[in-house]
Parts: sequence; structure tokens; C-alpha cells
Amino acid sequence: MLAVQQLESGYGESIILRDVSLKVQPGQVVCLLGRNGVGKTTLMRSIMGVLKARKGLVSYNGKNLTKKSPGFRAKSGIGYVPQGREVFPQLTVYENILLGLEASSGKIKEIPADAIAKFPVLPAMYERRGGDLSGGQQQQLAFARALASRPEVLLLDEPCEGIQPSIVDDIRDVIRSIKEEGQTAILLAEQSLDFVKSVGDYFYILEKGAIAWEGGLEALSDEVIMRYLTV
Amino acid sequence: MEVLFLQLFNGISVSSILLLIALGLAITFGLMNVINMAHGELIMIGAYSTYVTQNIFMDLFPESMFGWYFVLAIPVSFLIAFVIGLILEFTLIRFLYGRPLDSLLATWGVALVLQQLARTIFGAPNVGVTSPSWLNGGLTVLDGVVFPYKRLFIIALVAVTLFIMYLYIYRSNAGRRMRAVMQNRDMAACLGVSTRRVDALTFAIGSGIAGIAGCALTLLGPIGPSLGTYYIVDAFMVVVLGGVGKLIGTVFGALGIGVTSTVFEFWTTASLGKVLVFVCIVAFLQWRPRGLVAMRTRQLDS
Repeated sequence: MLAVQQLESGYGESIILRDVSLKVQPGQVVCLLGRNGVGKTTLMRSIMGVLKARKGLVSYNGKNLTKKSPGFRAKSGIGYVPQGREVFPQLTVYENILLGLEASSGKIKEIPADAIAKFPVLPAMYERRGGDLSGGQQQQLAFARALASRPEVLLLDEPCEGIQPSIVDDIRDVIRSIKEEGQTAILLAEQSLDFVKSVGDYFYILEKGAIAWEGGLEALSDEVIMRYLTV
Repeated sequence: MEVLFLQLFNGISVSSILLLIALGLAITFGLMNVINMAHGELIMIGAYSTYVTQNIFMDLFPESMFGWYFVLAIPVSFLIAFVIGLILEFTLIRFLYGRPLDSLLATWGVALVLQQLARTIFGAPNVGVTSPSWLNGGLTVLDGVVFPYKRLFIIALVAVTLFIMYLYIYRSNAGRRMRAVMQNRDMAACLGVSTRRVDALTFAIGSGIAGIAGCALTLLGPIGPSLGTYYIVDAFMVVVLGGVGKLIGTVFGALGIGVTSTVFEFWTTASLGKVLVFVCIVAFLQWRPRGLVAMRTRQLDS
């Protein structure tokens, strides 16, 4: 179980997250909602360790990760698909995915067939450079790269941002198939309400750097949406 | 005909020396963006390592074995420069990533310290390194056209070094990690790559290759504590002209400068030739500021 307790984090002088606590149970798809600028990406980056938390606790399966490096967290079983995808532009698609295996500390030597089977377009592009792919293709590549090491928790930061509808559907199918397999829990930050409703088990809404609301799918009423999400 | 052959050979020979001194810098400056002014001193360390290896051979081994010292001197020079690079990275360079101007000043200071250290240990006058006898003489191609074995050896050494570097950077797992870290440090870290280890290793390898260059330079003349200062400008020229971040660009940069400077020096004088080469480089960089081989992708353009 991934747990965040009373996390405080930010950039330089400005504090973005003041008091955030959430939990991601094994196999669950947990969605993180909130208007632009409330700190969803900051939270993702703090969980992954790219940003160092000021206060609070990030723990995974009882292990305290708060002071650990991003690499340690990756090796503990947390996969990360960042906002903006961040594929390595000069490396080939194949090399990009191979780098995903680093987190397994050498235990996985070949790219797992089932991880790549979710993205049938990728093998045909193995020799192309990551930077030459379109946005949607890069998103699928970033997904495949994160899944290569068989993470137990996957952090997805706005996977549908700026992507054509057909690939959004593909990504939805991928998230559903991960959910059905039940090996990997997902923490999903996403703007599109339709999208999160179609895949999510449990929802957190961020507002002003803290969790303002949490609940299951049936509790996520129009009233809640009006109150916290409409602009 | 003879003149053409000889000039062409000279051009390639000069290029090979330029390439050898620039290869290490192509890694520390080209890939890591550390303006490493101590690069020349790492070359100097390689040269003195060869000198010391030679002396040890003279003292310990029978004279018949002496010719082989140079074969051992190449890995010894690499290793010593590698270790010094590792120490330098750990004590200084790692605090200066992303601060090019600070790294310029600090490494320049390191360069001065290393020069003075060499003066203290080996004395200010130049020392000579005796080339092994199997590198004396030359290959007669045509009547009156002789290619010295030393020059041919340096060309071969560059080719082998380049090939091994290519395999390491573009074909090995460690090289893949290295390129990933240089392109997107945070993301590489998030995937589980140890960026600290990659940084240290990369800088040390760049330093080690500078050591090999120093070893090769002992074939061309005596060596002294300020050996590196003669080569540092040329090395930066090659890397900048070639295009930062691409190994193949460094090769083209060295060939370009080597061949044009030989041609200009043949037509004019040594100093005027050098001036003309620099004018050409400045003009070229005005036209293409990113050098011969520029990296271009969607990601970088946007």
C-alpha cells in the first residue's frame, strides 16, 4: 500500500501542498482530481521523490520513503509516467523501454511480452528515436517504459493531456486491462471527469494544497463536482 | 602526386592527434556540459604516466623488454587519468553541474594546481620519453613519400579508441544509462538509474581518454608540466565545431580542422595558416552556431 501522510511540499519559497494524506491500496485505481494549479503534479513529483517533501511522510508497504531518492522508490516498485511524457528524445524507442528495466535491478532482462502487448504500435517503431514520435505515441512509449519493470504502483500524471481521442480510448483500455490483471495499483491525476469515472475506484479532490473531498464512484455526485471541479 | 599524398597524410595525421585530444572533452564537455579547463592537465597526467612507466621498465626489466613498455603505458595512462578524474568529480565537479561559468573557473584553478604539482614532482624542464624502437622508421609508399610509423600508430590508436567509445556509449547498457542521464536527468532517476554513479563514471572515462591522448603525445616530442595548455584550445575548437553532444561531430570537427590547417599551412606559413583556420571556424559558427552535427528532434525544437 502506498500512503501519503500530511505531506507538505513546494518549489523554493512557495508552498504548493500544505497537508495532503491519501492511500492507494493494492490493485486499486485511485484518481486525483482538482482544478488547474491545485498541485496534482506537485503531489505526483513529491511521491516519486523528484521534489523533496518539506514535512510529512511518503511510505510504501510500511517502508518510509520520504528521504529516499527517486531511484530507490522506482526500485521499491513505483512506476512513473510523468506529465509531458519525458521520453528520452535521442534514444530509440527500444532503448527507452529498456531503460524501464533499470528499476528491476537486473532481475528482468528482456522487455516483458505482456507489457509490450498492450501497445501493439510500438514494436514497429523500435528503431525510431523517441523524440521523433507524435505526442500520443510518446505517451504509449512512456507507459510501456513504466510497465517494463512490473511496478506494483503506477503514477499516471495526466496521461490524456493533448492526445487525440482514439489514443485516449487506447489508454483507457490499457488502464482497464492493468486493473483486471490486478497486479498493479494506479494513482491517476487527470482533468477529464468522464475518463476518471470510467476507470476509477476511489477519488480524491485536491483544493488549495489539501485534500478537500474523498469518496467512491457513487459518492462523486454532481453536487460535489459543482462544488470542487467546475470553473 | 607525392606532394598531394604527403599533404593528405599530414592532414589526416594532424586530425588524428586533434581527435585524440578532443575525444575525452567530447564526453566531459560535449555530453556533460562541464567546461573542463583541466582537460589539458589530464592529458599531461597521461603523458607523465607514460614517462613513469618507461622509467620503471628501464629499472626493473631487461633491455630486450623495453620496447614493450609502451603497450603497457596506454592502459596505465588511462587508469591513472581515470582515477584522478574520479577524484576530481567527487571532490569538485559534482557541485558544479549546471553552472558552466563556475565550472570554467574552478577547473582552471585545478589545472594550475595540477601543473604546479607536476613541476614539484618532475621538475620544470621538459622530460623526454624514448619511443619504442618498433615505432621508429616509416612505411615507404612511393619514392620519397614515407609515412612514419609513429603517425600511423596514432591514427590506429585513435581508430581503436573511437571504436571502443562507440561500443560503450551506443551499444552497452552503461552507455544507454549515460545517454539517458545526459538527456533527462530527473526522468532517468525516476526509472531507477543511479545518476550519481553515472556522472562519476562518465567524467572519469572522459578523463581516462585524455590520459590516452597524453600517452600518444609522448611519441611526438618531449613533455612538460604545461603540455596541456598547448592543446586545450584546439580540443575545445574541435568539440564546438563538431557540435556539442555528438561523437560523430567531434570526428568531423577534427578532420575539418586538421585537413584545412594542413592545406593553409602548405599554401602560406604556419602562423598565417593557423589564423586562417580560426577565421574559417568563426565564420562557420556564425553561419551554424550549433556546429557541424546538430541535434535536432521535435522535443528540442519545441
